[in-house]
Amino acid sequence: MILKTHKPKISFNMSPDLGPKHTPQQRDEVQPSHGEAVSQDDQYDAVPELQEDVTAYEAVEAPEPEFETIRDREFDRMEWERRLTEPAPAADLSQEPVPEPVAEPVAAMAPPSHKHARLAALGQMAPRELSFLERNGSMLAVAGVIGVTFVLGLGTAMWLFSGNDAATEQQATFSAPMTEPSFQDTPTRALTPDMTDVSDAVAQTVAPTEKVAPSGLTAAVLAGLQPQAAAPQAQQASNAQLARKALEILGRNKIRMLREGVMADVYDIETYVKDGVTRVRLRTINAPLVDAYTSDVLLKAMVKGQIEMSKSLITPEGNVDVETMMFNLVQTALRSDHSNAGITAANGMSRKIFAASVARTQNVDGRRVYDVQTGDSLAYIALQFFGNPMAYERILEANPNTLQSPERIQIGQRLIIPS
Amino acid sequence: MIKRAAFFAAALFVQAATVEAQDYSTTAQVAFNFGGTRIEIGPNASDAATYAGRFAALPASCDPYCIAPATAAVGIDTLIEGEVLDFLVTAVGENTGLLVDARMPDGRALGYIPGSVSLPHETMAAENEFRDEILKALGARAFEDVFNFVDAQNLVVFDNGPTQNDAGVLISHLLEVGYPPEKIRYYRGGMQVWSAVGLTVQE
Repeated sequence: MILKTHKPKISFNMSPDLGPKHTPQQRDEVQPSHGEAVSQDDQYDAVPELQEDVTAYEAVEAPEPEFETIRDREFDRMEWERRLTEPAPAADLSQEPVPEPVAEPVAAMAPPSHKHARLAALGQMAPRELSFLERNGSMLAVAGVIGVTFVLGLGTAMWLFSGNDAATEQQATFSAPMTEPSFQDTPTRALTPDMTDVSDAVAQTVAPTEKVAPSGLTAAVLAGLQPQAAAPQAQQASNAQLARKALEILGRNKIRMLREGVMADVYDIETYVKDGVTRVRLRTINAPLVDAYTSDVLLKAMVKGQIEMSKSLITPEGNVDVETMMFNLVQTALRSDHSNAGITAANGMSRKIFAASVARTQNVDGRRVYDVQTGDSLAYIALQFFGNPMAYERILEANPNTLQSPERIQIGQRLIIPS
Repeated sequence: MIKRAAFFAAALFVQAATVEAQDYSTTAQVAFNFGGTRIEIGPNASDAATYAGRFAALPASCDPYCIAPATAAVGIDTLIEGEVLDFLVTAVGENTGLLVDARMPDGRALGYIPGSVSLPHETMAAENEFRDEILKALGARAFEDVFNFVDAQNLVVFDNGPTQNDAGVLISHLLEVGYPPEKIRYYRGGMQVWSAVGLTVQE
């Protein structure tokens, strides 16, 4: 700070050749100490970083032929169904990091006999598969296998959002086309089982020094953070299963590319304007997060009732927030790696999108309130304020009188954002 | 043609003369609500001379004697008294901004601008483990150690005045943690100029 100040004691000569005391050089000396934000130094520093980015990008892009990127919007349905059922290449499977000791994945990972491995993995489900066929007597056995694989995967992906446990997942997966009763079942399911999933997000936002009296959820979260708690680990294991199944929905390569893009840090958070609202989204360089194919597959499966949609992804217009859905899918896939790098990368996604959010709140009577905007889903709002779409539960809990269910948000609705 | 040019010239002259004749001084009388109470600031406070002498007598913050720079940092605007008064009414009074006293508590105890809040510069230093809590109190959103300043308050920072640089220190701390420069302004005059022009001082 002393550097910044001017010495008041100055003496100077009026003869022009001496010039003013404050020479440009002197100013330059002062500059760096307060040029944190926009100094020229920063601009110069940025150049080598850019070059590094380019090389990083190329390094990642180089092996691209390895992946079967599904970019063709006119993609033939038969073709992708064939790919879905077709066993993944052995190389892919061997690269798959599967650290957790779950019996099923080991069977699924045996390279030589993929079909058998897949069936073995589905072994537990066999009785239910029969009942499904019985209900739909005309279904062929082959179609059943295809359908079950497909549905299992899709259901799993959706489950990631509603945060169910393994028991409820089967119901969700095998439920008939989404009927009203089953739709109403979800809130209770979403509320009860899965505190740990929310706790991931909440724990990160709740600083230990915070003096707020813990609410029911916060207390649960804090309890969940105790070292002896075994529940989170169990949840992680099942999340890993889910993520693996999710790979089957969209094709291994799609998620893999997204995941590796995030791991290699070749992604950024993009700010864009849609319907007059400034929004943020993840943008991966090696593969689009959301393309027509992805949206199409997920939405069709939903309309058919093959997968259950988390209500937190419904926008006020009744659309599905596919981008937040994919964000969560990629993040969960990373977390299920159990590797430090994967968890760090997953967390990095949250940190980046949190920092980039431009959503404004207002202080009303000491509470932070947010006005719902066009295109918002409750999960997206949670993503912006808590860095995790699953934290929508917190917002739901903070607005018991005005928001009964996540999909009922309205444009202009005022939501209290808990802190 | 010449007539018309002459007319324009005359018009320009008249306009220029009008501009020069405008009164740029600010009404030094404001009232606003802050913290649930009505605060009034006026000129010619009876105890102005006392305060002016008190703040002027304080030793400079650095040795040898020095004067605070015109700007606290790149991108930080420097305000004068009229703009501070305007800020008190339009931002502080509307709960969208804070007038921040960067002095340490002993300095603030000598008197302060009504409607200002105390944010001693040391509390924003990296060493303070509760710095994050303060940032949250300023409206920043926190996720782990990442801050989002979209909701953060607009700040006008002052200190004792040009002979001290607590405000500059506080501002550099704020910039270090990512507080957006466009949300920070610097009232360089501080208590010394504030009291010298006879504005209300609270103690």
